[in-house]
Amino acid sequence: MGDPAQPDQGNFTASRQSSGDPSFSALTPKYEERLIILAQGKTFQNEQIGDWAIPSYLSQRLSNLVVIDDRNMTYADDVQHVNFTIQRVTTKSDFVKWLQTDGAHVVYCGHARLGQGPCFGDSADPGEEWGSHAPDALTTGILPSGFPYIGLPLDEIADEHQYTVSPVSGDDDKPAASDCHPHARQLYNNMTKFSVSDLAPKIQASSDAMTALLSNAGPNDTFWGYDATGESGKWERHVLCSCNWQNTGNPMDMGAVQISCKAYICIACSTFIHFYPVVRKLKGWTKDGDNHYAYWTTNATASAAMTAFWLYRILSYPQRNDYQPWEASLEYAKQMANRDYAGSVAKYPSSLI
Amino acid sequence: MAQYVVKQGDCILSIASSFGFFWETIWNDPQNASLKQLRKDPNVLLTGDVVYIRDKQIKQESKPTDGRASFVRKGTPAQLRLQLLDRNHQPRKNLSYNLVVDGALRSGTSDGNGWIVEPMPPNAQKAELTVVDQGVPEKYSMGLGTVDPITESSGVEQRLKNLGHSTTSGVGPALKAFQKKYGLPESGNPDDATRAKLKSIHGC
Repeated sequence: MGDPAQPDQGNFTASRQSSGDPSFSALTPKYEERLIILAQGKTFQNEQIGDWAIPSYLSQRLSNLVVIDDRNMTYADDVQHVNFTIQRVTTKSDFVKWLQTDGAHVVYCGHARLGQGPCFGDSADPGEEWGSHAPDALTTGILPSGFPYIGLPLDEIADEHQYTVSPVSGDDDKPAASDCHPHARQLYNNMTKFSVSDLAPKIQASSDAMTALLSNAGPNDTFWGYDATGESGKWERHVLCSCNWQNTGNPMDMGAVQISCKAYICIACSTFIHFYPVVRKLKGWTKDGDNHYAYWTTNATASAAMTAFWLYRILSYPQRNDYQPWEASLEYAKQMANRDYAGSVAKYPSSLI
Repeated sequence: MAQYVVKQGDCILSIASSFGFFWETIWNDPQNASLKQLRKDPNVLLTGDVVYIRDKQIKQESKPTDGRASFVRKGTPAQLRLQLLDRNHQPRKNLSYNLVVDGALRSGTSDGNGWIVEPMPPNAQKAELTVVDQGVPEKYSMGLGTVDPITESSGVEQRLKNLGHSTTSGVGPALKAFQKKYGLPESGNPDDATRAKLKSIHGC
């Protein structure tokens, strides 16, 4: 560890004393201030994640944690010499605000929505909040952040979550493979045009409901798609959807977000495949010295557990850390959270990278 | 009799000095009894407090014509007494320091209880303290006479900050952390017990 180059401790107050006056003014050094934002996505809010809820998970392990309310807490770590402020948010607009905040450590915990993007909302019910056409799109629904074209399983769209998508019309050229999500890219040569009648038998929803969700498709319309084993492990018919976020004019997509936080930890299923190439390459948000760190997950993950492990390990990094580069503590948290996860969550064998 | 309205940075010591009195003369003046009762500490006043300043009394000394008369003005010594504490509020011993008070430099080492005690003019306004701990300099800028009474919310906040508590999320969380440290009920409110403990640890 290098010498911590501490900035000025700032402004203090002191009293004067006459001779013999025993009063005095105490001076105690301040710790470095760091801000952690926990953005809980749809169905990963506290009331839905049981033992992994924050702050309860942390307060059981960190005696110095001060819980202000169920969304705000502080933790002064006497080993790191860092005073952490932790804020829990649950809306898309708050998530975006903190992604755009210099110095913030932003942790997303939620769904990846098959690569479409982080998704927010209070309800677990089917509906538009599961997609990117939510009525209140500033605060709920998907923040489009994935590859421009993604193959989405029909029953996921029409049966399980019931949200409107923008299918790629069969009248249009097949999108370039390089613009497709890796899953669709693997099946690029199998892509074909499906008619509505090809799609309808594959789902439980009525034909009318399905065509409505396919952006009010007409009965003679066709769409690009493919059959493949989906993320669920089932053989499913997929329809290729436009999920573009570049130059859309939508204030709530990755194209409009100017990421400037210091660390972005994206804890949802397979975010390394879904979002790493987009955020780091397509979007061009790259690491810059001791800034713009990013961590992703391999495979499907139990997001709430991994998030709890990550936060605990960040807060309990066992070395002095004030005014130091963040890399060592982030790498420590990654390794320890992966170890914690491997020892406790067998169903989804994932890790942070 | 004049009335003086306290400004930020004033204390009885500095006010008395500027009017040419001993601080005890002002503080113990019956006209200031209610102020004394309210504030209790002559060095911790609040902006807007009113201090009564008695009229100067003429003192006459008889001396022979052409005789030599010597008059000695009694000083009004003032000190800056600081205690360096770590985050657990334990003394930080034997740390070298430079203290600049209104431009005058003094150097030394904190004693075995973390004390730094240096004389200063009673009207000094600012101090800059640099403490070196394990080779790392820490710089503290201090407004002298700026501590507000513990009865004021500003006084509570100032003491919390001086004791290393962050008020970034507000005074309530900082108070909770302080209360937790000292086994007080964690209300986040400055109750009497919390104010008393804050004053005790902070020193004024």
